[in-house]
Amino acid sequence: MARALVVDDAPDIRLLADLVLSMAGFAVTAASSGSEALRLLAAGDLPDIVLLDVQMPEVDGWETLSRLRGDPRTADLPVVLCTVKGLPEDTLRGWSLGCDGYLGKPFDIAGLVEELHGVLGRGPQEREALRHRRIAEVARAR
Amino acid sequence: MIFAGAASGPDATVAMSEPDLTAVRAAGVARVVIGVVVAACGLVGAGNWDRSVGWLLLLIGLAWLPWSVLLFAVGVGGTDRLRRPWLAAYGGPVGDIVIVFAAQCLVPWAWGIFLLADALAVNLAASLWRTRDAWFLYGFCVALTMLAQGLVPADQRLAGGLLVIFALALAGLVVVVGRIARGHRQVAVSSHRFQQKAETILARVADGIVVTDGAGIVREWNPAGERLIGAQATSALGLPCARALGLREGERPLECAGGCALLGAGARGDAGEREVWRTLPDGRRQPLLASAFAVTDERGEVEVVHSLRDITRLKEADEAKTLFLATASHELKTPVTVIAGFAEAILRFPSMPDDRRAEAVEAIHRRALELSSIVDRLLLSSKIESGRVAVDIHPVDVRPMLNERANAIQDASGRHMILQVAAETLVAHADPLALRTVVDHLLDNAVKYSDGGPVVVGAERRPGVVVLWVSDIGIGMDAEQAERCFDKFWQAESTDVRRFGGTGIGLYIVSSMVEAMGGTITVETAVGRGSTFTVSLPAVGNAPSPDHCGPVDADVLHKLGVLSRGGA
Repeated sequence: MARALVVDDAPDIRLLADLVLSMAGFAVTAASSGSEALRLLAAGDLPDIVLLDVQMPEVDGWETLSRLRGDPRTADLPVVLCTVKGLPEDTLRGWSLGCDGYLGKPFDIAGLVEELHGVLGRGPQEREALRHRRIAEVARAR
Repeated sequence: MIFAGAASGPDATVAMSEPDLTAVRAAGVARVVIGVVVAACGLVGAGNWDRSVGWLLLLIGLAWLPWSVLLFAVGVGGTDRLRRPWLAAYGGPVGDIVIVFAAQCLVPWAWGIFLLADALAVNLAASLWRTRDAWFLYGFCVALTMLAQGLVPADQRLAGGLLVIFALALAGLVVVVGRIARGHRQVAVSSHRFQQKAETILARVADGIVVTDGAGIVREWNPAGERLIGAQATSALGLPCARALGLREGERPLECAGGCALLGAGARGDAGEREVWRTLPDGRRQPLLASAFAVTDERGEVEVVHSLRDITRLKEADEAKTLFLATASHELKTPVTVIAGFAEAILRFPSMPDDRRAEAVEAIHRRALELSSIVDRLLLSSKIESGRVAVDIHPVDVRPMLNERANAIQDASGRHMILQVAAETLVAHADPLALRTVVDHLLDNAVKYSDGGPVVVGAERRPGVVVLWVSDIGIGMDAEQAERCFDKFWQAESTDVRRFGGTGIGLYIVSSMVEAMGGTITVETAVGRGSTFTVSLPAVGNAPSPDHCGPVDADVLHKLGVLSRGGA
């Protein structure tokens, strides 16, 4: 059973992700902020994937992601950003910081599950290649 | 000043009635024919009747012919610039009068005088009136001359002819001189008025007008244009347009070297307005809407008139709207995510446990209400913006309203509300609905920007006003934030480390509403120590005291429809 960490400051979004991912067979843990997520990840076992919101108090999603990538222990941890920020510069920033998936809100729940399975199905090298491809795509579109 | 010579150009004469070219042409033809006839008479007369008279007539005819041909040519021939209808119209009769008197001096002989009188009459008439009238007058003059010749005794015919000639010439002279004088006066007056009008328009018009010659060298500008040229105004004369204005389109300078780039735009059939920009002395970009058209100056040379409109404020408004749309759509996305997500989950997982289904439905309901309130707030702010909010001022008892709203929000948020409402009568001049909106927004903000602490709601009477306040012990604001917090779309936190959602229009709505009701709003705040918002409204039974009720912005009141209702 794949383990997912959901990080979002909105309680009902955490609840929604928990519901959807549990129904899809994930074991879900939730954190209400970037700092709580970092604390959880530093203390215990790593989940298989992190679903990370961007706009959060104190430590936002960008900061959380770059700290995760800076730590050798979590450098390869699959992270999917899930945010209302959908402008090209936002997605570019996400991919450049090292996310493995970028999901815009509002999302449909089938798409959410599909995205997480897709990311989990790729190895570290494939994920790295996808990141480069996405960065090139966004850069071209701009 | 710009365009000082504008009225003296070829266009200026259009303002007055120009002599009819047909009349000028008719007069020209008539006088050439008469010249030929006189010369022919002279030639025949010299051989047959009286040698000296014949030669004299020939001489007059020959003198007349080139003069007539010349007048005819300048009157009807050539281009607009060569055509001088006035010269042809008035030059003819004046020249004729001179010739007639010369002839009188040389040979006082009635026959020649008769011819000359006819010629003078037809010329005057054709020049001064339209062609058909001219021939009537011509006939009248002939008849008059013949009558004069017939009535007077033979030995006095000379005197009679002279008298007619003299009268006609005098009348003609008076008419001609009068017309010339009036024409010139009209030209002078209309040219002066035109010039004044043009100068006023150019001085007052908000668009910058900069005139260059065909090669793009700056010649003139109006005051708005001078503001655009700025510090270099004194030295801009004679500079190439590209250097004096320094316009750029996109990242490229607007080239004038191969002809004005703006002129080309109009020629392609579009509106000819291009969005360009220039760098201000302080380094900021000034967006401009530019267009150009070519005119011919009084010397016939091409000039290019550049019209430049400063669109900084439009652009700013545009950016504020864009920012607002971005913020608003962000705020809308979170509730939509929850609503759509849970709704889809309910549809997709029929086997969902009942407690989770209940949670989902509750979340949908809560977020739907939130969406509705965001939409209400957007609509209200757009109404305020367009001045469609009218307040309806009544005496309002503040105490029950405050109690009711504080209780409602305490129930909804689960936060403790401390009421500090004074025991005295608290009746204010206010719009009940607007005041409720104000109180709700302030209470919502206090709950939103404080971490679980109590919210204090108070009211009391001060001289002339009823004062209400909402205090929290939340995050507070620094001085700059406090200063800007009533601006539209402003939020204390603009980065992604935002603790709080929101569209940034709540306090804008609050302050607009308070102002519309003739009140004032202030904030006392410090970072980490919370904020106190204080609203003063005119109290019933008291004239507002200037100490506690600040000056109300008449514009705002008018905009919000208060003044048109007869005052707050």
